[in-house]
Order: sequence, then C-alpha cells, then structure tokens
Amino acid sequence: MSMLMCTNLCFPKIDQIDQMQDKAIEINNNTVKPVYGARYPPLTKEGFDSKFRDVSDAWGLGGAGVDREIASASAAQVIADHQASRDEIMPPVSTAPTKNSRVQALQRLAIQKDPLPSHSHSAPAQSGNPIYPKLPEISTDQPRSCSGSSATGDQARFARLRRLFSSGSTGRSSPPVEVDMEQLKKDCWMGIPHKLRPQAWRLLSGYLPTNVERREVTLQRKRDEYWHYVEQYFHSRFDDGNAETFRQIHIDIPRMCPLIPLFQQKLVQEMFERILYIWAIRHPASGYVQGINDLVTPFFVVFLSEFVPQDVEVGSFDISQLPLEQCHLVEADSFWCVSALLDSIQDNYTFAQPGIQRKVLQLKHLMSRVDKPLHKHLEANGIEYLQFAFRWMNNLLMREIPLRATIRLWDTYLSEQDGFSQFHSYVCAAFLRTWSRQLQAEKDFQGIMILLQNLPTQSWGDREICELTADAFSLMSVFDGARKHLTAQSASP
Amino acid sequence: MGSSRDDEYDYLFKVVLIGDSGVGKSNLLSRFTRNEFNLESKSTIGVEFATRSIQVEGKTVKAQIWDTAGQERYRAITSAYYRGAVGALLVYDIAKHVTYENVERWLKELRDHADQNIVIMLVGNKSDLRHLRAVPTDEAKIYAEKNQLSFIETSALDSTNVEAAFTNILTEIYKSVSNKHVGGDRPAVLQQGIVIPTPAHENQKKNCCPS
Repeated sequence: MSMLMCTNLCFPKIDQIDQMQDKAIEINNNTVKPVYGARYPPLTKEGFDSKFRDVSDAWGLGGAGVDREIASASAAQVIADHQASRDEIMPPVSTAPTKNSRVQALQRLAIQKDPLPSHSHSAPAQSGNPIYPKLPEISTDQPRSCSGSSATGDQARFARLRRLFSSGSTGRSSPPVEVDMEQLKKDCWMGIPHKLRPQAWRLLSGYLPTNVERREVTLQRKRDEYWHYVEQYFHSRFDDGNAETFRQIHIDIPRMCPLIPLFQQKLVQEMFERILYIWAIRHPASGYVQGINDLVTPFFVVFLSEFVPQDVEVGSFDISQLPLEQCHLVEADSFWCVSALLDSIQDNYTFAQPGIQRKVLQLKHLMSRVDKPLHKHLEANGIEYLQFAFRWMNNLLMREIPLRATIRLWDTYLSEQDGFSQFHSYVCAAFLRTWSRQLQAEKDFQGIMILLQNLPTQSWGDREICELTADAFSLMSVFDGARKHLTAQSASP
Repeated sequence: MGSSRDDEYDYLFKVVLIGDSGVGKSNLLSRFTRNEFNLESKSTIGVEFATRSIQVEGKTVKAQIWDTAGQERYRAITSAYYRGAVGALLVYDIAKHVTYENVERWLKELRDHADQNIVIMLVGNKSDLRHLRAVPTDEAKIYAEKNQLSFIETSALDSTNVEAAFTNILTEIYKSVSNKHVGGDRPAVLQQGIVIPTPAHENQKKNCCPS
C-alpha cells in the first residue's frame, strides 16, 4: 500500500551492493589489484583469488565452450553443490523455504536437459492442466513444456493457486482469509495459469490486499481514486507546461503495438492516454519517457482478458463491446499496477536515466564473467553494450520478445524480489548468452548489431522463458551469493 | 578489418539521424536502407542501426547510419552516440512548426557533443503533406544557409528526395575527406574503418564545401 502511495520523490536507496559487486569482479580479474577503501579492510589478493577461482571455473566451463547445455548443467551443479555442502565461497542459495522449490525446479530443468537434449518432454502430462492453451497471443501456452518431470509439481501448485482464488462458494475448501505471499510468490514464479493471472498479478503488485475481507473496499476506493485523478488532472493536458508531455504520449500510443488490432482502437488508445498522462503528471521527476507506454500493455491485456469471452482472442477483441464499468475497472487497475512497477524502477527514467546506465554496466561486468568469449567478441568488434542493451533496460526486453512471452516473464518478475530491477539485469545476461553462438558467428560490427536488433524470438513462449529465468536465477545465485559473501568477509575483521 | 563477404568498401562513414520525436527519422532510414515505409512504426528507443553502400565518384561508400530516439529525456544518453559521426541529418517535420523551432537546440546538441567538422544537413521531412505545410521552404533554406548547413526537403512516404538526401551528405563527406587526403596527412581511421577528419585538418575545411 505504502508502495503505491510513494511518489517519485522517494528514490530507492542507492545500491551500495553494486559497488561491492564491481569490486568483486575487479578483484577477480587477474590484472587487478585489491581495492582498498575506507569501508572495507584491506583485502589480500590470495584470499580472494582462491575463493573466487572456483566460481570462475564453474563459469569458465560454460563460457569457454559457449554451450548453453553445459552452462545450465554447470549452473545446476553449482546450485546443487550449495545445497549439499554449504560451500563457503558461494553461500547457500537459500535455506529459506521460498527458494527451495525454485532451486529444485531449476535443477530438474537443467538436469533433464543434461544427458540428452532429445525433447522427449513434449509428450507428458499435457492433458491434466487447465492452463488455458487458447490464446497463443498472451497465454502461458503449454503446461510446463520445458520440464516434463515438473508437471506434477505444477499440478500441486496450480491446485494451491486455484484454491487461493476460488470464490469460496464451490464448497469444500474455501480460500484462506489471509494470503500467504511467500507461498504465492513461490507458486507463481514458474508461471501462472491464465485464468488466475489477473487476480494473482493484482496481489503480487501489492494492489490487492492480502486480506480477503479488505479487498472489496480497497479496490473500490483505489478505482474511485484513479477516476478522481482523471477528473482532477486530465483537463490540464493542453496547458503550456503539460502540452509537450501529452503530445509525446499522443504520438507514441498509435505506434505502440502496430500489429495488434486491440491497440489500434480509439477507445483503447484513449485509455492509455489517460493512464500515462495521469502517471506522468503525478511523477514530475521523471515524467513520461518513451517506453513507459509499453509497460502498460501487459497489465492492460491481462486485466482485460478477464472479461473477454473464451473463444475470442484478446488481441483482436472489440473493446466497444465491453460495458463501460468494466472498461473503467481495467483502466484503473492497469494504472495502479503499472504505477507500482514504475516505483520499483524510477531511476530508469529520471534525468540521464542513471538506473539504466548502472544496469547496462552491470550487464557488461556480468558478461565478462559468464561468457568471456562473447564479451571479447563484442568488444573486439567495437560493440558497446549501451548501443543494444539500453532498449533492453528501458523497455524491460519487451521490444525483444513477443507479448505473450513478456506476460509469462512478468509472472516471474512479479514473484521475485526486485524482479523488474535487479533480477532483470540477470535475465538480460541470460538472454544475451542465449545468442552467444550466433553472435560469435557474425564477424563484423554491422552483422552483430543487426542481429542484436532483430533477435529471432518470434516463436518464444513459456518454455523459452522458463529456461531464461532459470538461467538468470542461477546467475543471480552465484553472483549475489558472491556479493553477500564479500560483505560478510569484509565485515568480520 | 573484418570486411569479408560482399562487404567490400572504400570508405565507411558514420552518420546520425537526429531531430524531434515523430518527424520520421526511422522511416527515412528504412526507406533509404530497405526501401520500406511503415505508417505505424514503433518509436525508436535508444539507437537503431542500419547500413547501405552507395557509389560516389567510383568509390564504394558504406553509410553506417544511427537512428536516434527523439524525446528530450534521451539526449543525455544519445549524445554518446555522436562519437565518431562524420555526418548528421537533422530532421524536422514541415507540417509541425515546433519541430523546426527545435532545430536550434539540436544544433547546439551537435556543437556540444559531436566532432566539430561534422557535416550537417537540414532535412524537412513529410513534404507530401502539402496541405498541412507549416514551415515555408524558403524560410528553412535561408536558415540553413545562415548556419552553413546543406538543406533538402524529403518525403519518406512517397520516396521523394530520400535517396538524394543521403547521397548528397555522403558525397559531401567524401569530398571533405578525400580533399584532406590529397592535402597530405591521412584522415584518422578508426578501428572499424570509420573515417573521421582530425582536428589538424580544420583549416582546410573551408575550401571543401560544395556549392
């Protein structure tokens, strides 16, 4: 709640850990000497080298061979080692129950790929899971096609989710009064069944109260509040100080998703204009920045899908068929949820976009560790990370993958701590190394850049996102682990 | 190195496309490099990149064109993309006067961040919108002369002058570079083969402008 109220005057605390991470990376490079600083006691090179060597070996294996299978397998191995031995170099991924199942899922995922990439997972357990295979545009299209063996796990978590979101009237197991958010995040991390997604996203965004009894009242109040803002501010869009903001919004919306008929409807475009303008007016430190418009679309599509008949594809739904009241609800909910998201990545859009610059730098450092051949290849050809990764950060990869994949990716982002900020950087690293082989096959600047701008992701869906997020999660476990370890080390004299 | 395959060229010039949001920069680029036009093309985020080679006086000149995002908020970042650019197409929309007024700000942007010898061409795009014209051709022409810019009006939609705009600026760059070449010192050649005039050649600049 307080998160929603937060205006963009309250910036997220500076990420000091990032600096530490940079140090860690620096130290680990052979060329580099230990960094001394007031906050950290002097570090001995040997200590760090020997501690980090294992880490780089693990990743060197994946990087040198440029083989995703090996990389994933070694990632899983690393995680497994943690689980088993509590290796002191990389702290255990987590003993917290939240992450346990995720780690197991990741291991399953990687292990299953390890022995033979035979795609034998296409057959199992398609039938049992009502996960809405209908709307290929936007649905989690297949139940867990990425890992056959986790299908049973899916069934269990889907059952929990269904119980959580059942209306209560169906009898035997009525939903709990208070939602266990940790459990919910765990259950949603690997993808949310389509029908449950709207309500799950409201909860995960912090928009819908966890307490069932407060929901009705709160939602009503927030929706009223949004329409009150519209009344209060929207008329100011042609005023001198605001006209430029509105002009930018107005020219961006029609070119947002040119190929999806839904977004070419005037009514829909007007809804987006209101959402974006009200948000911009209430967040003067950043205002509207191109790209923010894209971030509204997943929420809009998901909340709209609640009212779209089963046999109609959301992407071509005629919104004029929807009662006004429901249009209003979709609009208000989209506004509040995108507001919550933007609160978590505010410095992406303030002056000089420091959040993006920092994340691009992080990506670069990360790549130099996890896929050195690719990193060197890019550098040798004069490619700068900012040239391609700016858009990855500014639009949260939405320009790089299809909308249905984005929506599936956001199931995970919404379920992950700092999903849209920190975790996204790891996802970008995982995404980049997905193309390692192809990029290294391109032998000059133009070839690489053209490929980077048009990565062939048209067919991406649930399975690819599963693999991507699993890989990102292992990266984060290793590097976050190393980071925390460094903190702990330097804290004790 | 690395110019393999069908990728042979004598000169490689980096050119940036700048100007307000919505003036048609991306469509100028796609018209020139792929002969395509999209009425509803997505807004550019950061930079987008394309290339095309043309013949100038018997030499193959490869244009490496960087299309930038127009929104003001991006400028702090996009200015980084000016590095190494030898040409700039500064685009406005002939039907939107404010985009023409902002040309001044874009020029300042170039002066602050680009190489001082960069060749600049002022481009009035959307010349097909005759009935909506808000910027008279003569006014823009005079402004361009006063600021020592070349000038052209284009329509990415009906292709008018798009080819000419790029050919002209590449020829102009070629001449300024090859003049200097004749003049003695070689122009600086970057790792990727981008030819940029070095500051040492500044004094020769004046006599190389075609009229």
